[in-house]
Amino acid sequence: MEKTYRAEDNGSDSDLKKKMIEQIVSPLLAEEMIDAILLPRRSSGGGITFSLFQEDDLQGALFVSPVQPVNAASLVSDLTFKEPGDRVAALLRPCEVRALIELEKLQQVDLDHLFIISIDCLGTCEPELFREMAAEEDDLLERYDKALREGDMGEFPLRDACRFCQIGRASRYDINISLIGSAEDELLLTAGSEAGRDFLEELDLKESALPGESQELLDSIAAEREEMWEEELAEFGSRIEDIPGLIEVLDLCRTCHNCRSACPVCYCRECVFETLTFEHEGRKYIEWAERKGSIKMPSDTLLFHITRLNHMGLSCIACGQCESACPVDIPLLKIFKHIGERAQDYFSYLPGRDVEEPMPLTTYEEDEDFDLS
Amino acid sequence: MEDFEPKIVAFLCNWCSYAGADLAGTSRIEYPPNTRNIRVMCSSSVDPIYILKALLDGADGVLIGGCHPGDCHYVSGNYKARRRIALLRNIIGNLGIEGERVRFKFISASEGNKFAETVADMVEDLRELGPNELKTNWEV
Repeated sequence: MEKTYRAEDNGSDSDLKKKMIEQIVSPLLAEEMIDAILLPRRSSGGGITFSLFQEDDLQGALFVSPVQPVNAASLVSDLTFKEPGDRVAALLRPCEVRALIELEKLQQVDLDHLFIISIDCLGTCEPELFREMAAEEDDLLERYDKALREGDMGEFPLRDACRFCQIGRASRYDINISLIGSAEDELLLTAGSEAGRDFLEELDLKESALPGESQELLDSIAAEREEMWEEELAEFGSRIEDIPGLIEVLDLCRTCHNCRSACPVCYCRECVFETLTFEHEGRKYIEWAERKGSIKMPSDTLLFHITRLNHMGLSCIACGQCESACPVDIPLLKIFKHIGERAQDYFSYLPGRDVEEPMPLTTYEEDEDFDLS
Repeated sequence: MEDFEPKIVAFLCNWCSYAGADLAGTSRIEYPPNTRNIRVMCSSSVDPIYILKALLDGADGVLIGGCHPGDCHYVSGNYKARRRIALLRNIIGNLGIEGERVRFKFISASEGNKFAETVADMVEDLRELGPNELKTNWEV
């Protein structure tokens, strides 16, 4: 059973970060429950990046961050895939937790070595846009914090993935920072695991109910965004319902594979598209050109994207990092969300829901009926 | 469409379907010469990339043959292949490539006839479907 606790108010200037450091992170580190903590951090250039903190001063760290520099599930994989330390903590958004659950199924993270502090999220801005905005506006971070608590992101230019995202709260965590629907500077922590509950209990925090509007806000935002996505699909879906349409949408693709390296669930440690398989002999291209009269160069663009859809479409958690990483603004999120969700529906699979839910391609039933004729 | 001869790339598993195709040959069963057979160790070793490469390069159809349920040399490869092909057909179907162009069949080593029939049926269906239009698209 989940329990929510309220962090103490120690004086008037104790904002969320201060409370997190004093009441959560310091004890976690002091009691050696964790070796280090991964958090977003303001960088020297004015942007936001991630940082792994070992000491509890957490200089420049952000708990409420308007930017997702990369999907942090990839970083958790770096931290736990090979010879992990005892335990690290990471502050994760819902889409990062969902990516993590997919990676756990692929044995590319080790959740036993992770303490998940998740945080409610209603969307992020593109990193470069945030940097521009932050240069103009001093209290941008405060305004973002407020918008999140009130559940009204209207004034923030959210990434496409976030505009359509209907999952504002993670489903698996040790502790969740339940921000949506909370009052200014209030820090509500929900324990989602035994480790999380034991930890919060020991801190002697007061138990507190989640405000009723918290779930209401989450639900109404989800409904609103679902409707928006349906509307978007009505237009966009028809644009890619055949290959010539898809070719038009992928028009500017330069085959840089940024989308692949940014994707947290593109699981191959070595991508086939980066191997010798795709280092063709020069005369091969000429043969292909002979056959068709002419071919597009660089070649295999379409093959790359449709193969990726086949490889990770079922695990696509629609975080949109592919689109953010694209240098020529291809609407990759829409392509992958649209085609991916249809495939997920086909197998009644929801990526990132539960580590116990097997990936459709790793399991089978002897007697099952697919139309393959 | 009379003179359209569909080209089919067939991935046949070493233990069952390839032997089935072999049997069709040694038994002198007549079937259309439209397949280009590729022997693979297991139907589940056929990554979608092979199928897509064939289709995008202009093959009119792709046939994947595996062992019957319960017969897989590697226990469960055929079941996994079945799901993989189902996923591929769903994805390409939503992108406007006719799913019928990719077929998955259980063909055992003793089923020379079934192999011949499968190819004949597929050729006929592909004739009706017409040539794969991607064959002539330079941007594919």
